[in-house]
Amino acid sequence: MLKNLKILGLCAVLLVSACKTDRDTTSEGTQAKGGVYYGGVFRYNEVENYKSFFPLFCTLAPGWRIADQVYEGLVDLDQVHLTIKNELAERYEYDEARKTYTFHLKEGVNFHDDVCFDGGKGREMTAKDFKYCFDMLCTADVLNQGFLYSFKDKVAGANEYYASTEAGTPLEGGVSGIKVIDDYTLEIELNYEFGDFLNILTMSYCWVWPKEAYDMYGGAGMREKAVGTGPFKLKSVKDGESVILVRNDSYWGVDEYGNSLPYLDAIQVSFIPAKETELLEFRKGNLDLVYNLPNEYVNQILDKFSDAKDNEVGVHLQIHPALTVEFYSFQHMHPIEVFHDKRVRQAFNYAIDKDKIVDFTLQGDGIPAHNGIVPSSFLQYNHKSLQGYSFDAEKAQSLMAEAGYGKGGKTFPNITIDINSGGQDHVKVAQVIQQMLTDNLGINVDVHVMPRAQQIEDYISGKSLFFRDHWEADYPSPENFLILLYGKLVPETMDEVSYTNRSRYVSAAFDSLYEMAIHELDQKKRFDLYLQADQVAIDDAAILPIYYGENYRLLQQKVSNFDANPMEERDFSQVYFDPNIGTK
Amino acid sequence: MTEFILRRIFNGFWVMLGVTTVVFYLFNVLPGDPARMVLGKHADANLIKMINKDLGRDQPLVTQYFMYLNDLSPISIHETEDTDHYLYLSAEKYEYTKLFSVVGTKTIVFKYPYMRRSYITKKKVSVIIAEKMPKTAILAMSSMAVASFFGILLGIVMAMKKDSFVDKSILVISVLCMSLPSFLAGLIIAYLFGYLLTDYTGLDMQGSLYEIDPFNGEVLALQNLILPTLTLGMRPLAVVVQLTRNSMLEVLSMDYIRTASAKGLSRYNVVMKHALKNALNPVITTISGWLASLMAGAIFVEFIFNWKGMGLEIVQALEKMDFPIVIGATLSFTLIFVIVNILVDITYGILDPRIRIK
Repeated sequence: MLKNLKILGLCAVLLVSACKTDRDTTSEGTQAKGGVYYGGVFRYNEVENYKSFFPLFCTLAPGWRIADQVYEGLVDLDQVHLTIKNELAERYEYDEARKTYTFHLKEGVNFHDDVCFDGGKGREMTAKDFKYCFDMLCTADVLNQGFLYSFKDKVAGANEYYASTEAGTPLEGGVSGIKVIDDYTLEIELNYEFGDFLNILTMSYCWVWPKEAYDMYGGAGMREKAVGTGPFKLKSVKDGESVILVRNDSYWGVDEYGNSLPYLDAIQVSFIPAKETELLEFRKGNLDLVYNLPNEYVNQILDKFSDAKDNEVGVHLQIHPALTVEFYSFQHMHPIEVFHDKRVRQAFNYAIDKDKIVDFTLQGDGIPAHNGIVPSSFLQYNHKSLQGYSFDAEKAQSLMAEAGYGKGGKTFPNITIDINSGGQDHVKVAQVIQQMLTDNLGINVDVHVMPRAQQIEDYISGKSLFFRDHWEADYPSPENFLILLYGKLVPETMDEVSYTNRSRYVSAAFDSLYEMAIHELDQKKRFDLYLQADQVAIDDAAILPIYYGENYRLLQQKVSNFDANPMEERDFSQVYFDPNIGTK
Repeated sequence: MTEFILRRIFNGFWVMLGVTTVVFYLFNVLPGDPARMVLGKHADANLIKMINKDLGRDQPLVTQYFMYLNDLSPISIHETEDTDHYLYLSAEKYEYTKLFSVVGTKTIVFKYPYMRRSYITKKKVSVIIAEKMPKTAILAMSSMAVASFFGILLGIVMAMKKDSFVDKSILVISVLCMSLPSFLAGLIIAYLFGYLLTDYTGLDMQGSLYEIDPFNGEVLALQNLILPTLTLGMRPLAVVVQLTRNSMLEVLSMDYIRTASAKGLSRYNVVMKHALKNALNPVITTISGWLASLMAGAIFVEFIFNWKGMGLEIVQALEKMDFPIVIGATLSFTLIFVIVNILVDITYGILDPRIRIK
């Protein structure tokens, strides 16, 4: 209150122009072994505010990308290849059936100092902390949104414990499949062999945090308090304005030369909602990174920066396929039965010129999706071997004729594309699709733009016949995409909502291949099975994929060791500023 | 006088209740389930049911309405034992003092109005308002200060130089300022001074009152206040200019001014000491009435300049269907209006006894 009064008092002197402070007060550019440099503040912007840093409620990317620097899990994804690397686990092993995992934890890893601990000093993290956090992950609570896609069905005793907490009588001993062997050994038992289990453990829900913090701040309070073991500590949060992370001086990590990590002194995140302003700030050198560049700016920016003289600010442009897919779904069980016929769905797939959409509508921002729901960015996934649909208007027309529509046959009913408002590209793409369907199949299509909440409501309840959909991977596995077509997730009646499999596509062949795949432990075989399942769905024209995402990222030239990857997984502990290049 | 004040407060109460009712129903009959908005792609039936129960949305709308009123009311009834009950007196929700128990486990408490939590972030709406409202107030007040100061000054100049070139040019500019909508003016001003001329003005297109330095903490950045103040203050400035001019001209033509001049007083003394005081009466009335509406009018301006006040918060909450914030903010603005109006009425009442009797 006193502060607010102070602010009000300052009104009187508003006409006095204030001075700007010198931003960099740190020792940017102290050289260490191996030619790396310590120091500096990394600045980037998020156009949306963060939702929460509380690991179980941290479902949106802006918050997750920040909290990921503060919290750590047993394992994490490698920034370059998105393969599994150890984090707080020193090593792990599993039994032959791969149903019991034993994790040996690093010793001497401390939580960040925080008032929630006795004396404000962070204590050592042990296996008991993981047990506590994993039990919390399996606890029914409005602030726990992680259970469904993580431990549910997979970890032994997880469902039982969840049910018991829902009933208000939590089982003694927590989740039976999660056991503390000693302070540095944790055992997790699965219900069945699940090849992607380690990927699950990389998600934010599986980060470790101290019980003391939860007891003091509660789940809602941990929205803006984060106590972890990571390379950066949360220093200050100004809601919707800025988040500052500072170096954790006692971080356990060291680089290959023996330098202690991280190199950066701090990370500052701002929240400017307008992309144009963000770019302007980047050009002024006030930001070190811009990602998710809108396509309309990409060319413009490239031109501007290529005009820059050698001694001016230079930039890196990183282009990387993203683990996202933009697609249109048919409602397979809709009372209007047009899409029950496979030939009609195939005709739709042939009638859309995806190359044209990417080249002209999106101005090259994206990869045309000629195949199925799984994007082409998985290294070991032989995407090229799939047989998808390329644009072929004649074939589309003949398939429609075969299905009995067109001249001399039935009239195809007028259909509506349901899309959500927001994001200019979606509307533009929908209009192009509308035009292509009309031109190539001679059918009448309307575009219905509605608020996002309404659109979701309509498609999960099966009311939408034909709608826009989009998926972003939670973890890097084809399984995370194929699950959207898994028939066993479709409710029996149309009265029930279908959350995951929104198109209500059911195929016995797909389901059995999908199940075989998730139980397969050998990665190559597993990916082969995923490919086969993918092909089944493609042959059935289960959905109408439009394009796979692509990320454009701009970095100031001095930013080193910051690789782009399809998940925008960022490991700031390895990033440093090279003072010899690209400074103003 | 006491009766007059009480009547005004009582009327204010009905206005608040009316607005609460309209706003509550308006946002609760809109399609779309907030629980799904909260969960995004990670939804399942169970979780949705749990969230809706937590929000009290499993009850009929009328019950929800009364529960909301109960939450808002400083004196309210609560359940003390059944933790599953929506009205359960939980310390996480309410800051209260128990007054007395009524039937069974129910109790009457005195508390801070509870405006619920944001659907999306679970942060208390009252905390959000406490964080953001002062910034909007600063913007509104600084705009008003600029508008009053320059408005009165220019108004006097115009009245003194009636029908001259200066008078006419200011008149044209003020008409332009008055008719330019703030969202357009904001864009033009931001582009012109914050982008094209940024090298000369040193101003940014957007910015907050405080800039945050990773090591030194918050640094006051008053320069960021200039452009939004200009945008928001433009219209009241134009109004004040014209009002002062006309009022001044009227007063200057009065007999007592002629008498003052005839007494041999200097032009300065006549204008500043005799004319101005009387001419300012209608101006001050307008300014006081305008302050509250400026706060509400700040929404567009905040959005354009990324000024982290209540207006920007409302726009962002609307996009996400985060209705507790929207409702809470609307009610806060209403409360400000009501209070300002009561104060204005009381001032009138003191100045002019005839109003009290009416």
